[in-house]
Amino acid sequence: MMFTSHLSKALIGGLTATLVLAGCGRSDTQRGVGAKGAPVGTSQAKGHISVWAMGTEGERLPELAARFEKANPDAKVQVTAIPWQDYAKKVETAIASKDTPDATLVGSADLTNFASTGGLEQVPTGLVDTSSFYRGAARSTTFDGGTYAVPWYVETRALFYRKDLARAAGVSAPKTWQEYGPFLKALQKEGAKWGLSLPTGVAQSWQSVLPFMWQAGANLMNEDGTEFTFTTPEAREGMKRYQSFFTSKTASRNGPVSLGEIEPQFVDGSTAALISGPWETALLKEAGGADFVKDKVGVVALPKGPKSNAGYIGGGHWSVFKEAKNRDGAWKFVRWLSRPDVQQDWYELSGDLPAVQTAWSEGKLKSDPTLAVFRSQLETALPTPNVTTWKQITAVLDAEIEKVAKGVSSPEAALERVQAKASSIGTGRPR
Amino acid sequence: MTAPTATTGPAFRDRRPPRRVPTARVVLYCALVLGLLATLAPFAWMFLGSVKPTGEIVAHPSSWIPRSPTLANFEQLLSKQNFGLYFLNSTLVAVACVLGNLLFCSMAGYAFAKIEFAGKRLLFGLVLTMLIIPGVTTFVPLFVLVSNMGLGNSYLGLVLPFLVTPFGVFIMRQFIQDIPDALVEAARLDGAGESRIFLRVILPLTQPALATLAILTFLAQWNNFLWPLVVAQTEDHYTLPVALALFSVGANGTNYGLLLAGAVTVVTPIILLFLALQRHFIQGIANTGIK
Repeated sequence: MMFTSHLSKALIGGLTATLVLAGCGRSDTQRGVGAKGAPVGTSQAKGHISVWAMGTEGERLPELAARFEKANPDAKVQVTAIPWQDYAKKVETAIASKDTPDATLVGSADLTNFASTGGLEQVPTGLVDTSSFYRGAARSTTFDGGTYAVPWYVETRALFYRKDLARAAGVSAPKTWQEYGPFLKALQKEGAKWGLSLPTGVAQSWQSVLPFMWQAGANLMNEDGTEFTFTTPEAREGMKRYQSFFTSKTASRNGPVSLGEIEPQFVDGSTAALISGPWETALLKEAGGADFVKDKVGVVALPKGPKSNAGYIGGGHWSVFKEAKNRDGAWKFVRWLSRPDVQQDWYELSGDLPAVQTAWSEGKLKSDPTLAVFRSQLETALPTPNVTTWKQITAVLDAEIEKVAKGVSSPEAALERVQAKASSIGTGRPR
Repeated sequence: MTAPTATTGPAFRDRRPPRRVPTARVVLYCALVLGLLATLAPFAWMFLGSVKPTGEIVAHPSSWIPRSPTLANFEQLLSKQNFGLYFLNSTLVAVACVLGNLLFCSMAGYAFAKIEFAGKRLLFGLVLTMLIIPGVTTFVPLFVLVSNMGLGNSYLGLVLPFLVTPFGVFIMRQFIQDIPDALVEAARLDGAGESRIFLRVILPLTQPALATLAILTFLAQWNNFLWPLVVAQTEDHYTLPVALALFSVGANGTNYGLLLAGAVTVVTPIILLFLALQRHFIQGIANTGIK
């Protein structure tokens, strides 16, 4: 016998003890908020500055950092490139163990979570001019009245469509919701099986669906950010608009589930339009070639709803850790990164769109027509509500979005459920 | 001579080879072949995909056979700075963990199986309890411990928590328990000390279990992503899975060519290891599974 009675007793005893201990661990969840440090002077940065940056940004940043070192000869920037995959776990673990670098790149959607742990320092007064950034980007750096990061690059979504099909159908790109449906139907008549590709419940579907609500004029939280408001007439109208693409058979009820899936369908013409970010052009070039992108791909701003054509704004911010060993140097590096000329250099190096508006006044950023579309889109783009529970709420949203897309729930009922669940999850602030 | 039948039972009883293959067997082999194909297909896709240009990997409709085979993905992978180092790091970590597990788990297993000491049952109960606790719950505390010991960003920090595992202790104890006590006692009567019994009697008899433990540990460490991601603070301590994620998985897109080439590089050593230890491995699984 494997389990003697002694063994099982010991097992159960040990397990119970563990559960009890685990239960205690959470009872005094700290809600520390990062303090605001002294202002940072204008002298040159000094010493060793260790920073984390993710993915391609991490691979390319050393080149930019070398220019910072040239301007600040006494400073040495050490960049560690980290995969985007599970990076939040790494940052959270570092904060928990107080074993952090000086500064880190942060995905805009994750900032609230990091700030709420108390592991980040607030941006010192006067470090940067907040109004120089796109409004949506600046808004996503705040949490509970404090500012915890400096925007670095931004991204938002626009409408990519098959120009050749539109030309053949004799229609021009839609500017409003009224023109949206007929335009896509016209492309379908030219041979495309589907007019538009929309996510139908896969993780992050909400990023494509919330904009419809914003465009209808919905605010997802009340004025003081204490309660969710998913059941307003505007939110309902947005959700109905999303649903209409499926009921009119413009979009497939089985949307793409993995990255890289939609591009081939767009290239072979079976899907005539998609909503995506600035990175899409490179992906389409890979899937269809440069000539395909030049001759057959049109990029326009999202069609305007009753209120606006607001899209979702994402991107990367810089935060400095409370446990930073070289706080002064780190903030100086972050300030330097948000200078318009450095932002332009970074665009040249990486293709990331500048978060500083004045950086767009020169070169390709000013003249390129596709970039102009994203630029106009950035001016109205909105971030998600700054609540620590947002990740949980997006899971609810994605699940309900799937029900609407597959036709098993009405938009009204889905939003009622989102509202009920979001209210019970709460905003993460003590009630 | 019995008449050839299509049914299974009686045909075998007279020990003469049946003239016709029984239908049941044909069905069985068809099912096995299908199962084999289903298992091998993803591997075939990975190996074939790694020599396709990225455009062809995502092409729609897709094809199995590369239309324009290329080694560009591998060139890109190898041109990444430090790729050799990441490979070496992975090997070091995995081998160190395997050696640690082979030594410590068999020692602990021997003690739990064959030596009487106070608190043995309680201690083994604790080992089993650890088996049940999911790794995620101990992840952050474990890192805080390692970090407080000053082992953040060191090879020791990458290896230390995995040198001995409850699972390893468990399977070694189960295996050693089945070695007849008489053998151990005979050795003891002949004047052998515990360490001599362990080295000369127990270890040679536990080879199948050791092989199983070796391959499972190697696999777990070779594929481990989260721990090296968190512990390694500079790129020169990255292991292959971490480096691969860094190079191929972006925030908004995946470089499938590079990813597949990397996957081939990561998987090949494991397949070789498995082929080398296959006989022991299957025997080990069978033995531990039967109890």
